[in-house]
This record gives sequence, C-alpha cells and structure tokens, in this order.
Amino acid sequence: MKLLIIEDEQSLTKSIHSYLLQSNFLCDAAYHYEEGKEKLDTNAYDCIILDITLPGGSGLDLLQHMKRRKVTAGVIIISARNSLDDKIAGLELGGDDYLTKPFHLAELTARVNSIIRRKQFEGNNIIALDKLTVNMLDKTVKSGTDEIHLTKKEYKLLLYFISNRNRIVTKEAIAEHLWEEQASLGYSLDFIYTHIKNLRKKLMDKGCPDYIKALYGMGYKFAADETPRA
Amino acid sequence: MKLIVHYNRQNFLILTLLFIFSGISSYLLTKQVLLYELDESLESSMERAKAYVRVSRNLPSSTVYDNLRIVTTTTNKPIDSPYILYSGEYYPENNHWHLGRTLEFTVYLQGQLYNIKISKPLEGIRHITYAVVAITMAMILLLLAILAIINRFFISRLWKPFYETLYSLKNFRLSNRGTIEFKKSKIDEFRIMNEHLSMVTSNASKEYHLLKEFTENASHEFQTPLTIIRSKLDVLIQQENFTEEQVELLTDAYGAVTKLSALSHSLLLLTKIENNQFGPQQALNLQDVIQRKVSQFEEIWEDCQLSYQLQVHPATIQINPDLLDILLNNLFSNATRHNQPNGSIQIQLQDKFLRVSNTGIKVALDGEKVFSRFYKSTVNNHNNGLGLSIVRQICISSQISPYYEYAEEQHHFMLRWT
Repeated sequence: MKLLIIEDEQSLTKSIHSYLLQSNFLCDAAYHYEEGKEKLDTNAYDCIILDITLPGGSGLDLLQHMKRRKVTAGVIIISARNSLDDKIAGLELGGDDYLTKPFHLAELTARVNSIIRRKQFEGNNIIALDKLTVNMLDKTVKSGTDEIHLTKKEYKLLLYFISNRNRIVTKEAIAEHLWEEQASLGYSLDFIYTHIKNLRKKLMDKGCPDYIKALYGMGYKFAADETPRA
Repeated sequence: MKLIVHYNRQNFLILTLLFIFSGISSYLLTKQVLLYELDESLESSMERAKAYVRVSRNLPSSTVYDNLRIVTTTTNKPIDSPYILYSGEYYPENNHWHLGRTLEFTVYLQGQLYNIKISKPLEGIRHITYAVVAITMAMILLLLAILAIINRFFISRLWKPFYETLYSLKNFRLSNRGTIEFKKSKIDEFRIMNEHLSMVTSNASKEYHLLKEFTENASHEFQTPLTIIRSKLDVLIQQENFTEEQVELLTDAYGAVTKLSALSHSLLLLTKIENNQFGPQQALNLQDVIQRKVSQFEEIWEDCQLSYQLQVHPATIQINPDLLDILLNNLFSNATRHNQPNGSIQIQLQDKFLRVSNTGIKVALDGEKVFSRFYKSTVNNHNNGLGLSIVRQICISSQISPYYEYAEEQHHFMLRWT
C-alpha cells in the first residue's frame, strides 16, 4: 500500500509516517502545494492524506486537480477547521473522509484502512485475521465457522482494533471513535471497559485466543496476525 | 425629561415674566407720556389765558364744561411759579369722582390779584392707557400662543433626525456584520453627528470582527500543535517497556492534551454560535429528537448507574438541527456528569417547555452564574466549564430562555420558548 501525506507540518508528517509504517503502509510526503501536485502527477497512490491549508495553495485546489487527472486514490482531508462548509466542499470535490485536528493517529489509521478496503477490495469485503473472519458486507464475525453475535458498538470496536492491531490504543482514542463528539463532553472513560470486557468474553467464548491485552494506564492492544491469503 | 419639554418650561417662565414686566412698563410709560402731554396742554392754556387777560383786560370766563375747566377767584397771595397738581371733584348727580390735573396761577388785572385754576380731566388718559396695555398684552399672549405652536410642531420636526439616529443606534449590534444606516439630514449638527456616529460604529464593529477573527484563527492555530503533541504521544506509547512512573507521566500528558483540545473545540463552537455560522432555523419535532437522543445516552446512563424517567408530549421548536443536537448533548451530559452514583435523571417535555432534572450535590447552584463561562461548582472539576455557556449561547441565538432551579434535592434546568 502506498500513501501520500500532503501536510506542511513536518513533525506531524513524521509521526503519521512512522505510525503508518508499522501497519505496512509505504508513505511518501509532500510539504507544500507544488510538491504535492508534482508527486500526484508522477506516482500512483492508494490513499492520500491531505491538509487543506498548505503553503502555496489550498488542498481543495489539489482535490480539483486530482479530479481532472482522474486520480483514483482515496482521499482523507485533515483540517484544523471543524467547519461544516469546509467539510461539504471537501467531500463534494472528491474527498472520501474528513478528519478534524487534533486527531488520534489510531483514528487516522482506522479511516485509511476503511478507505483502502473500500477502494481496493471491490466485492471482497472479508477480513481474515488469525481465527477471525469479518464480513464487512453483512457485518458478521466468525471464529472458524462459529458466528459471534456482537452489538453495534462491539462490532465497531473490533474493526477499530483490527485496523490498529499490534498497536497500543488509548482509552481516549477508543472513546472518541465509539462516541464521537459525545466522548469529549467530559465523562469518565471507565465505561469503555465494559464494552471491551464484553467483546473479549464473546471472542474467547467462541474459541479465540485472548487478543485484547490491557496495558496498565495506557490503553489496549489487539494482538493478532493477518491470515495469509490462500 | 425631553429636551423640548425642558426648553418649553424655561421658555414659558421667561415669557411669563416678560409678559408681566411689559404689561407694567407699558402701563407706566403710556400714562407718563400722556400726563406729560396733558400738562403741556395745560401750560399752553395758561399762556393763552394770560394773553387773553393782557389783551382783553378781562378775566377768562369760568367754564365747568367740556374738557377745560377754568375757575377764577380773587386772592392776595401771589403764586410765583405755576404748579400742577392732581385734583378731584365730586359730581353728586351720578355719584362719581372725576379725577383731573389742575394748573394754578395768578394774574394781575386792574390792581387786583386773581387766582386762576385750569383743570383737565384724566378720564381720557386712563382709557387710552388701558387700551394700550390691553393691546400690548394681547399681542404678547398671541406671541406666546404662536411660540407654543411652533415649538410643538416645528421644533419637534426639527429634532426628528435626532430621534431617528437614536433609534438606529438602539438597533446597532456589534456582532451584526452590516453597517448601521443613518438618515441623511440637511442640518449641519445632525449631519456631523451622524457622520461621526457611523464612523465610530463602523470602527467598533471592524475592531470587533478583527478580534473575533483573531480568536478564531488563534483557536485554529492551536489545533496543529495539539495534533503534533498527540501524534508524538501516540507514537511514543507504542514502545512497550515503560516503567509505572513513566506510564503515569504519559497518561497525564495525554489527558491534558485531550482536555486542551476539548477546550479549544468548545471555544470555537461558542464563537461559531455567536457569529451565527450555523444554518437557518426550522420547525423540529422535539419529541422525536429527544427520544432519539435519550436512546443514545441510555448506554452511558446504564454505565454510570443512573436511572431515568422520560415524560414527553408533542412539542415543536424553531432551531437549527445541529444546534439542537449540541444543546441536548450538553444538557444531558451535564445532568450525567454532575450526578451521583445510583442517582436519577428526569426529562420532561411539554409544549414550549423542556426540563432536565438530576440528582447531585445537595446544594443549590448560583442561578445567575451557572450559565456563564468557566463557572465551576466546587465539587466537580473535571470539565472545562463551557457546557452550559454553550447551552446559553444556543438559547440566545434561537430565542429560548434558559433557567435553573434547585428544588426537592434536584437540579432543574429548564428551557422555555414561544
């Protein structure tokens, strides 16, 4: 998988780069408008992470450029402006997702995964991971052949973990993913624990190993390896 | 007191004094002038009488009729210089005193000294004086009446531009983008005032919007460094061999970043509501919206061990749907956050009235301050203190009145609208 990060903050690009590298994504970086344009013209990418405010031009113009060039890569817009107008404009110009700063890298990874899945595996909506099989189309999860019945939140949580597997994900990031803006309303995050406990129990009841490891104080880690495709 | 009333009062006081003074002075002056005239005519009569005596060697015949009255008597006391005095004579026929002026002098005729008194009545003078005074007073009264009418109609019309300017100023809001329009006036004072006012107001709103823009930009500029800090922490925690102490340091830093981003998110939201950057209002079925919102919160309440009662009746409200969502989120999460274990939440919806009540600390909050920014009750300090001020700001922009009450060990947050 090849990604292009168009973002003028070098240190942010570096973090995104090193985080995504662990998920086996190859990342390319562009720090200003012209560089982004050039890289888009000369290389093919699977997904593009695009900042709207760039030195030398607007990310929205780059989107238009990509539309003209018929670039098929999925685009995630990252913007400091949480404005509905920007969001609508970005999505209308061909962006696939919109993420407001400050975001969790785990959230960005989940979104990148979901876009790549949508773009690349057309018709193939099944994730196979160790013993687990997730059918994205009818939203079912199986362990071997046994179906695991999950609630909406548990399913969402499992997908999030799969996107960020072998990675430590903080409670805050999980809460924000599951409850979106309601998570920032300032409750204690303890109730996430209930959902994680339930998911873990359901997986283990159907014969899965204990994938979800709690790391004291930090968060959780989903440890599993992708089943090689036959 | 209106300027025109004040002006009229002063004006009428002065005019009344002037009225009295001019009445008195016109009376005295006219009388004095006429008396002088009369005395002069008496003196010329005296000259004529003296000439008559000298030429005809005869005394003027006494007469008691007409305007002139001459009475001649013999005397032995000469009068060196003739003098004039007031005289009065009683007429028994019509029981009336006739006042007059009398000139007394003496003449010699054939060795005999005669005293001659010439009198003229004052009646004429009195009548003329009265007439003059009456005319003067009538003129001044008429003048007063005309002035009053002018003041009433003309001056109040003259001040009209001033009141129009006042009215425009009353409708001036700093947060409104549009500049204030003053009506043009031909009168210099009002024109200058309007020019200055429109300069001041447009400067003020320009400064205000610059400040707003600055706040917004500053909040936006915070987002990128915050993202960097958060992403660095995200990368850092992937290294697993941390000591317990390091973990604690990391979680604290992480928590602070989360808090800071929530804070700047709330501040931006407040600015956006203040700037009316949300779309138009629409009539919404509040009952449906609340039931949906409650089902979203059900899970959280269950996790927090809170029970809830929902009492809803059909109700509609005029509001932007995104703002309504934020409003309910904030009200419900406020009731959740400040609750106690095994506490309860009651939601009551009637036509044009919503009440969210919760158990919590057993002390009433300050109803005045509870909706203001960064207000924190002493007990709970986790939140940023902006939730209810966002509620208030949404209420202001949607014509809803929010209030707070503490009764029966419950905190009630109520919204009323029309």
